[in-house]
Amino acid sequence: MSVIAPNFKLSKFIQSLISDIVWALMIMTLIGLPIIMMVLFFIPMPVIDGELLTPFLAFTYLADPSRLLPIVQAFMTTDMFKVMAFPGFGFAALLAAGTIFVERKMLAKLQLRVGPFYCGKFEGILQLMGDGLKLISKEIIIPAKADKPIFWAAPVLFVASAAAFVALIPVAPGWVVADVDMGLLGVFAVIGFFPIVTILSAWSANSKFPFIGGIRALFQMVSFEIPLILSLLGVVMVTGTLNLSEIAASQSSFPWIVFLPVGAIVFFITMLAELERIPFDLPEAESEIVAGWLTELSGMMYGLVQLGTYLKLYAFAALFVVLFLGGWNGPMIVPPLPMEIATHGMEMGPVTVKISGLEPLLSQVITQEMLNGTLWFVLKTVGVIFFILLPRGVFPRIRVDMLLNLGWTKLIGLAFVNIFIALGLLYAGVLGPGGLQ
Amino acid sequence: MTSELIDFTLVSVALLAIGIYGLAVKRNFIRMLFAVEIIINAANLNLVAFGRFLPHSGGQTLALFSIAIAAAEVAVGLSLIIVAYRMYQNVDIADFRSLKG
Amino acid sequence: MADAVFLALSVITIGSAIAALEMRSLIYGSIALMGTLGGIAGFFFLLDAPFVALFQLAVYVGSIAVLILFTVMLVKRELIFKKIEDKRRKFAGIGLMLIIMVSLGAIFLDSGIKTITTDEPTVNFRDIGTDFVTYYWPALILMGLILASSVTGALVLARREDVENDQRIN
Repeated sequence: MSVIAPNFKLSKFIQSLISDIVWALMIMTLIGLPIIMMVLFFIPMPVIDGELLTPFLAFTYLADPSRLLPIVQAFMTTDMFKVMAFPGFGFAALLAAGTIFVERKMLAKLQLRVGPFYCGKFEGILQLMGDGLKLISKEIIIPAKADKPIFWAAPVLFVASAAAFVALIPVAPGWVVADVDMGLLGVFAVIGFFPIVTILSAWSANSKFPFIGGIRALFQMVSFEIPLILSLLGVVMVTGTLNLSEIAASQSSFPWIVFLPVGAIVFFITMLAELERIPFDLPEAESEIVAGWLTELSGMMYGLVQLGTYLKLYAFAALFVVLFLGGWNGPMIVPPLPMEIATHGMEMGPVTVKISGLEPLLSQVITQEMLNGTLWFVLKTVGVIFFILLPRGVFPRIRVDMLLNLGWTKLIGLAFVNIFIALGLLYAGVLGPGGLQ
Repeated sequence: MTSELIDFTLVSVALLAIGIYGLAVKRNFIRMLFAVEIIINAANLNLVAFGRFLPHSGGQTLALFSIAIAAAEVAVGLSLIIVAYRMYQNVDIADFRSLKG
Repeated sequence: MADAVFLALSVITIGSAIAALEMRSLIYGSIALMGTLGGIAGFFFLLDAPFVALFQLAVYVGSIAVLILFTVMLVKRELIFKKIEDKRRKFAGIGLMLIIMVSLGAIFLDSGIKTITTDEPTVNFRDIGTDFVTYYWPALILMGLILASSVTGALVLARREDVENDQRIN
């Protein structure tokens, strides 16, 4: 019997669990509650509807839906909810986490492996949580001759840039964090920050492999930025706006990929290069340069960079959806919401239950259009993410000179072809005023 | 709009003076390029500020031209730095004396 | 008078401009220069010119700062941290800076622009595009030619004939 992993005994486990619970209860009643009471003693509580808001009243509010739902509605319309939860960071991080798991399982299936299997009851679905706990508990090792301020700041800046990118993406009509007039130009500006953060992180580690990886990332990102921007100009020409919400709304009858397939293909290939994914994963080529510019990062810094990478992946896939696949537009498949229950109440035999706060919530915030738009957006985004992940199991990595050759000659040429297609469609009257839209 | 034209102009003057100081004092080629960039940005700030207060779209148009030309200038300047560094293994402009190539 | 955002932006811009020239490490100097360029973009936002501001962020911070960082990193490590200047020249430079600042500032403060304020509507960014293709079209074409020729010139200058031939064996 080894010391490190003793045999598992259910009785011991339950015993330790019970003792933990007892200790937690004891500490809470003896220390926690007095502290809460002392704090409450010094805080002046607000008066709502002529009643002093004591903690007990707050609990009754939580149990009473007619009082809770207006609070929920007010919270859902705040900017903080938009930034933290739904169209912003939380939603994107959820999709990104799902992407990581699906990538590992799918890659394993493609290569006839099993993939994450043991963590969690079913097919290792808790693997991601275990990885997160491992990364948090690991020591952060900083190289001795590293440039410490830049080295510490780089992962945070990477996540911040990715989050700024996510903030520009419209998910459903009206559901976007930053609805700016020049959203697409903002996207170009944000994309420009990634190579800076990468090269700074690589330089500050003061190590060979990160620097080689950083230089490769710089070449790749900067040279593929040009076909990326050029391939999106066609969409801007046919819609006549830079606002991402308006671009998504303009595709109500057909997505732009029908008319601009060349631009969509060029954008997809440049997207793979910007995301450093196989076949363009030269900056992180693990068989050549250990892990590229991530080599010296450890612990939660590596976790942050991974989070930023997958947020960026989500944002690029969402940008593809918004620009070429019609964003939130799609047939109405969400059934009509139960407005009768909200307005007249629900009859259960002799009793009629009426929830008063439900009606404004359903008619103003969580509407049928919003649910339908979100559903279509998520479906399309997941599809695009699948196609981004697929090459990893299929294609080999290509050389640096082939990559740069592809970017500078073929993709830029194709992007100009796309621009001329868009111009031709506009001048022929197929699109634009007098045309289809 | 709470700020006035004079505020932006004063910031621009300060940036211009800092840039001229950098050009006069620094002998490092790269730092002199920084100083030139700062001066160009001071000019752009003035262009946009005056364009806002006229108001006329010409200010912003000129600023966009200026930004584009500055990009070209930086590309040429940096390639000159690389060539000079390859020749002299130094970035001190006092060392770049020989004009014979 | 100026508001808090304006004051914060001007402190960031001018402070990082000084830091860009005075910091020991050229890498930190480049980062400070990025701060200056970003601060100028913030001023453009304050001036209701978001198109120019985002263009500034995309071109200056996105491309020019990367180019500068890359060039700085190509230079030997000891040269990045070396500071070449002499004391007397520096004091003369500071004097020159103060003289320019005070005299130009006094001229501007004394002139008529001190009283200029505006309530006019902002310029729509579509007007800029119209400007580009109507009144300024020769300048636009000339700018395209200048950009193309300068990029070609930069590529020709930075090319290395000695290594080139060995690597081009395909």
